[in-house]
Amino acid sequence: MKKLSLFFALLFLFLSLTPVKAENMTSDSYYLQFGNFNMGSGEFDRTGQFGLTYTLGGTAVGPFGEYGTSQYFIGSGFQYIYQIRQFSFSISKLAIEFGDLTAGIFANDSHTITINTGSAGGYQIYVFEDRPLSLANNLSIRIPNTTCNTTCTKSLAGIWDNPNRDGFGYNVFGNNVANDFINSTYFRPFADNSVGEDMELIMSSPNVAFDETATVTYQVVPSAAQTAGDYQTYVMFVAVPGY
Amino acid sequence: MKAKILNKIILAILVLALLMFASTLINTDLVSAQSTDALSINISPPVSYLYLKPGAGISAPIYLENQGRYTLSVSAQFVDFRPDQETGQVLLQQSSDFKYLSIAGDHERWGKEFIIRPGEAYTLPLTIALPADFPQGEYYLSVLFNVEQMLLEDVENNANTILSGVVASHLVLAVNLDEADRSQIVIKDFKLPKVVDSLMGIDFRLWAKNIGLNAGPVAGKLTISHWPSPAEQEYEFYPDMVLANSQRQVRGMSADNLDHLKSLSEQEEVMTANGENFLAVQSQFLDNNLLSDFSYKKPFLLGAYDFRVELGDETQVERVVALPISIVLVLILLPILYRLFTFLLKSIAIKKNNDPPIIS
Repeated sequence: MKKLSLFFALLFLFLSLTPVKAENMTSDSYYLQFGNFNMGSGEFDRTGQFGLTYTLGGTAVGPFGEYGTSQYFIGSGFQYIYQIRQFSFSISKLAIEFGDLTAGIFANDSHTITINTGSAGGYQIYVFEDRPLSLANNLSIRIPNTTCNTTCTKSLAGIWDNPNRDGFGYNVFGNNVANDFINSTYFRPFADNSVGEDMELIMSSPNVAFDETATVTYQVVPSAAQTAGDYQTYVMFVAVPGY
Repeated sequence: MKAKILNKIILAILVLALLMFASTLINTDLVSAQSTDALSINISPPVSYLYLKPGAGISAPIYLENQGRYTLSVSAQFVDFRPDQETGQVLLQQSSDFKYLSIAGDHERWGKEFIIRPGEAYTLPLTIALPADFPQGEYYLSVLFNVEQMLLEDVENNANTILSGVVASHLVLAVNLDEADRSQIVIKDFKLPKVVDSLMGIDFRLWAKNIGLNAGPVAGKLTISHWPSPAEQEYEFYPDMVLANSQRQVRGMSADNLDHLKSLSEQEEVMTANGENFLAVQSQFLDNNLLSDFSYKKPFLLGAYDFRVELGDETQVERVVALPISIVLVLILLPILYRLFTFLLKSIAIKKNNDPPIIS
């Protein structure tokens, strides 16, 4: 019985052991030959105990020093907003489906994007498309990016409520969105990465953001002469924290 | 006797095993807070400020949590960034020539995918190792995490537009021989009027410039004095970082609001216990009260107001004179308007008297 207990105890001990997690510092001696290899620095949190600037190895410090030291912003009440140093970005869904497209009838779909900056450094969110909405089996056949009712550009939204103007575009509505999206009828074409266009800013703030949300609405309408088939593209949102 | 010793050994092993098992549970990379969003990624830290000597190395791990519903495929790359000279906003560049940033010493791992399951986390072990002849200066890098849903083919079959995200984490690397802080924040521009109307507020804005060799925080305050009070109003500057050779508009908060922020923070536990969202309340407070376009307002301003800026080692004092311009204007204009009015009335009366009588 005792032997059995001992066996189970040893088995339990063996099963409890986890693989050792370590940075691979020996695979490439290049790093070691410089000496003075610091283990880490910067503000970093894994446990929910935010705000501590951790420095191992001795040479690096965070911008505001550690709590309780003279390096910290002296005589200020601002330390209360440094207690979280995380940045999160969310997209409510990852697939936009328009269903069957018909000339002269708008098709729409939408999702939300949410940003949390944690501290007061602010953020910027940009967007671009991989290419215009293109036929899945023949990428040269495209639904063009919208030019709105009269005109609009990738950085300046225009009214697009005339379904006889074919194209593909987007509207953004919510917290701190670009101010050319005056209301839900204002659309922009996406910046087209396939022709080297720069991504466009759609949402930004210099201040702390807590669950700041915007709704992105996609709108498409084909022309009567548009080739039938499945049209697809990829849209990428780029969330950049302030410093 | 032997049995007792054996029992003790078994007991010790069991206790040890239980402790280790508990420790594995604590160290697990499971993340508790899950979102209902399809893609939800949490990155920490968003910015790392690092000092390094030429010829030295450092690690700068970045921690990613998948708080969304789906397993994510993530790949990392890095580019340079530069600050916008007016706003301090991050401007990402297309690429980087910096050759000494790697993932755990492996330069080939850039662009290679790794997986983060829902509720799990991943630490990217970034390392920087500089050659001994690396030039001193400050370097700005953004690590970009391209995040997309796994099993993309399933999505592709049904969707017209497939979405993905890129989340950045910045590395601000100061390279110098003695690892000393060589930031020097000075006043770049202090915009405020010389004369204002007594019934209007005094609007002012301040820009800080870093003429030093590495990034440093804005530190200082602005005091408004008006006889007989030496400190009629005080604003504490927010410790925004200003990168080397760049500038940004200074933000700050009044001393009263800072006290309020402090007391708000002290109530965090009570608010949380009452079901209030402390972070939402704090964010809203900051949004309303952390200012970059300052405005000093009183019901009636009169006389000289001295604005004393203390920023780093610099001090600048500007005087604004408040005069009752609008009241004086009204006082001057009122008699003129009255005269004009009476003149008009008289003219109408004279015209009526001079008009020939209507004969029916």
